[in-house]
Amino acid sequence: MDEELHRYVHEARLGNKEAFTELIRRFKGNVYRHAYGMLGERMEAEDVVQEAFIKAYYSLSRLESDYAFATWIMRIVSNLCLDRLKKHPKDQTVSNERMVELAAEQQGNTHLRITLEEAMQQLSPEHRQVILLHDVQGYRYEEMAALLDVPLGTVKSRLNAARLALRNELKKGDE
Amino acid sequence: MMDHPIDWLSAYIDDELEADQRQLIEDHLQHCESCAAVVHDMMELKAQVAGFYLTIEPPLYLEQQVIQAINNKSSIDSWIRAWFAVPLAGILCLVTLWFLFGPILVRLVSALFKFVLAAFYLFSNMATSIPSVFGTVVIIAVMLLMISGISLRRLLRSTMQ
Repeated sequence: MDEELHRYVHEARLGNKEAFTELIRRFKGNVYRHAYGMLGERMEAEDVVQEAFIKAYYSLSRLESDYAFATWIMRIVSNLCLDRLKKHPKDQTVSNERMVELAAEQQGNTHLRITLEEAMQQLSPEHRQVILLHDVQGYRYEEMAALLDVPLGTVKSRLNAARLALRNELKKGDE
Repeated sequence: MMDHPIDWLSAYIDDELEADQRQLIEDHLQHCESCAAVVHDMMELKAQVAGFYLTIEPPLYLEQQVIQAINNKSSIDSWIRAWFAVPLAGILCLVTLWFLFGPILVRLVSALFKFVLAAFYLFSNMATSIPSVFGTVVIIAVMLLMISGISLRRLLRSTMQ
């Protein structure tokens, strides 16, 4: 599996678009989920994911190791999401349109999903980022420290604060 | 008894603590209901977040869109390169010609200028000394001007429609 991935990254570096397409196919799920979690909108997430892969394609020569592609692409999308949120701070409420969309998508457990997503969107982008990287992408603390370029202690305290904030938001919803 | 180790609870549920720290937390949790409740909530939240976001699926056509965008960008870049390359090549040609044939070119241009000047002088003399030639030239010039005006008007009308 790793060898195959290494081969695809290596060939993509040489400009092979087929190999790069395979890389997109493999990583689009993780990258898209992260962008969606950060931005809370499908269209915006799609834009950012496209931008991330295009950026990756043109900067592949700067990738330090073929084996580091997964972390590298996640760093790119993560930074793009933060940039976008800084440029266009979001109105932190879930729109009616979005509520209808979600309800149609998720017939079961609708209340839980909307509430959780709403609560996530109330957090700061940095808090959302660490929760998504850890709980959805499955990164360990050390990997997150390297990916975010922050000390390990910062990851620990930030994730702790993020979870407490999320818990508070959901408790507000229960009241 | 330690104070509430609220800052360590997240690392505890993620199994990111040293063995001695972990033991301290476990001892504390056995008699602290509020911290135990936070740990319980955090574990539940962790599972909910994973459960929700892992069901989000990316668009099926994403890779085609990205490759299409890369192809478009490549063709635009090559056009831009071509548009820069053509004038650059022209300037380079002119500079090379100047270095190779500079003095000859100066003589050629000055000779051409003298010739044009002489032709103009000759033509103006002919036009003033022979009135019929002058009249014919003026009529032809006016006709050409009118035809150009009519053509331009028709062209503008057809493009507006």
